[in-house]
This record gives sequence, structure tokens and C-alpha cells, in this order.
Amino acid sequence: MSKENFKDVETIIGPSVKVEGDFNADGNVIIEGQMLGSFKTQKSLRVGEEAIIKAAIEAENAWVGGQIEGNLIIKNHLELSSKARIRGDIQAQILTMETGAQINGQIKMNGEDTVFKTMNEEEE
Amino acid sequence: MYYYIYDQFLSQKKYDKILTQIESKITDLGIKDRIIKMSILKSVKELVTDAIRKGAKNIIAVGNDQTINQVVNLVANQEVIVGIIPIDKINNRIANFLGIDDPLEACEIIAARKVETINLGEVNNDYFINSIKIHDNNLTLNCDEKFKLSLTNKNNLISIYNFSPEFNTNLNDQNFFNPKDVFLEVIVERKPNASLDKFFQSLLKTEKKQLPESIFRVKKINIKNPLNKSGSVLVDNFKILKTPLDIKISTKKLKIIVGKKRKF
Repeated sequence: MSKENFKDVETIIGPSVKVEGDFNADGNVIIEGQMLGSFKTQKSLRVGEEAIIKAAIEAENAWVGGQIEGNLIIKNHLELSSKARIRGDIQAQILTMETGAQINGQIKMNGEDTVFKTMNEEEE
Repeated sequence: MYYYIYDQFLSQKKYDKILTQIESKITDLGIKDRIIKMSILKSVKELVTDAIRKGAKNIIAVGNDQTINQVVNLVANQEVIVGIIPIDKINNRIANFLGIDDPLEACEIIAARKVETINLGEVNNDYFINSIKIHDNNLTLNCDEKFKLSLTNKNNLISIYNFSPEFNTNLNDQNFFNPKDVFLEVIVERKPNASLDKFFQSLLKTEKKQLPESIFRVKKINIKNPLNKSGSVLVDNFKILKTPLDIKISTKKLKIIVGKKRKF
């Protein structure tokens, strides 16, 4: 999913930009830079491979290719690319992961209480 | 009554021919009332205030973006309609956005008098029409009192636009850059290297449309240097203002004559 075909984008946080604070959007958002604080959008989020996020995230759908430190609440579909690194709990309806993606946290799906522990946590 | 305010740079001999053509055209169209020329001795403020006192209902800025900014700052609180006759192709982005490209065509547009109301930007106590450019990478933008935006790459610059960015973006077709909405667009773009860009454009023949590096839509911006040092920004490509600055869409609106080819 390249930047150019992410349709109807409302906000782009580019590689040279650092955003700190509470960011709320109504439309699709691309993050390729740094985001610290909290992030919420009513639509989709695309996190680029070079992005560094230290924030709690809420979105309808998300595609993640970079690093996120914080909890993710995705109402519908979360896609993690092979370079995704998540340190935080995930809540999503559908989760797709490429080989190599890393999650350090709990995963809760389909609104049920089923909790899957990651391998790292089991070892601890 | 139509009052034409000629910018000071038009006193150069090379503009004599086009000014004669404009005056002939507005005479033919029956819209030539008064022509006032800016000079070192007479400030634009004096000229515009005097014109309004004498009953001017239409103030026509003849010159470029800078002329328009100066005129608009003086008439924003008055019940007058602003028109534009752009001279030269360069530095006339505002006229171009309003669908006015050619000086003689502009005379016909003024005679047709299609008026639109657009929002003005406000920076501290001044008005701006279209852009604020921030070349100082140390400055931070506090947006909508919710989040802070700063740059990590010194080769980029932040620009704030009311309606017309200075490059072609793939965003124009969407809801961005609307002079009637309450949003300002904050864009991060590469610092221009004019000669190199022109060279590559000449190779490509046409300017490539591309998404900006970053874009945000905000209502209110506060710009300051986090170290409490003074910084500066460039307003409408000619006026330098010092930080701290409060920027927003003004409650004052501008009535302006537009052409059929306007981009909104």
C-alpha cells in the first residue's frame, strides 16, 4: 500500500515531521514520521516502515510497517507487515500478519475476552 | 465607482505599453473612474483611505500578490469589492487562483463583476491572503491547541496555505485548499532550489504532480521558538513577521471579483 494509492488521504505525517500531543482525525491518515501522545481517526491509518510511534492508537483499519509503542484499538482490520514492531496490546476484529512481524503484548479479537499471550511473554 | 491602485513598480518604463492598453480597455468597457499611483511620497494606506472616503465601491489592485496583500489589509473592514489586474506572469498566484491570468482579460472580468466571498487568514493583527512560509526549522507549530508539530529535517520547510499551494499536488481535487472553508492547510515541502528545479522541469516538460511530504488541516496555529528566541516567517511571499504568531482564519471575509477559470 503505497502513499500514492492510499485514497482520500486527509493527513500525512511525513518522515521529517514530529507530532507531539493528542491528534484526532476524521479521515485516512499516513504516518511516516514520529508521533508521540495519542492518535485517533474515524477511518484508516497507514504506518510507514520508517515511522516511530509512541502513542495509544485508535482507528477503523490500520496497515503497520513501522514501530509502535502503545496500545492499538482497531475496530476492523489490522495488517502487520514483516517489518512491523508492536510493543503494546492489540484489539482488532481481523488481524493479518506477515512473517517477521513482531508483537510484544496481548491480543484481543472479535470483542471477546479471549486473550492470546505472545511467545515472549510465555518465556517470561 | 472603480478606483485603480497602481503598484509602485509599474512606474518603470517597460510597463508603459501594457498600462496604456489597460487604460484604453477600461475606457471602452466604461469602468474607468479613477487611477491612483503608489509612490515613495504617497503610501498605499493614504491612497486607499482617500479613495474609500471619496465613495469608492470597487478597489482594483493593479500589480502582483504583494499589491493585493497591501490593498486587502486596508479594505478588510470596509464595504468594498476588490478586483485584480495582474501584471507579469510571475508572483501572481492569487490572481491565477481566482481565474485571472491576463491583464486585458482581467479588465473584462472586472466589467462582468462576478463577486465571490472568500475567507482571509489572520496573523496577529494583520490579514494574509494565501501563504505563510516558515524557513526557520527551530520553530514549532502548536495546532488547534492539541498537538505540536516540528521538523526533524533542515532541508524542508513548513508552509501554511489558505487556498493555493505553490506546486501541483494530487490533493487539489479533494477538499483541500478551499477559500470558503474554515481550515488552513499546513504543508511540509522540500526547500526550493529554483535553478535545479527549473532544470529538471524543463527535462520533464511538465511539473510532476505529487503528494506533499506532509499535510495537516487545522483551524488555529501558534508559532513560536521553543527556546523563547525570536524567529521569522514570510507572509504572502513579501512581508516578514517575527514570532510568536497566532494564525487563524479571520471572521472578516473578502468580497473579490473572480473569473470563470477560478479554481474553487
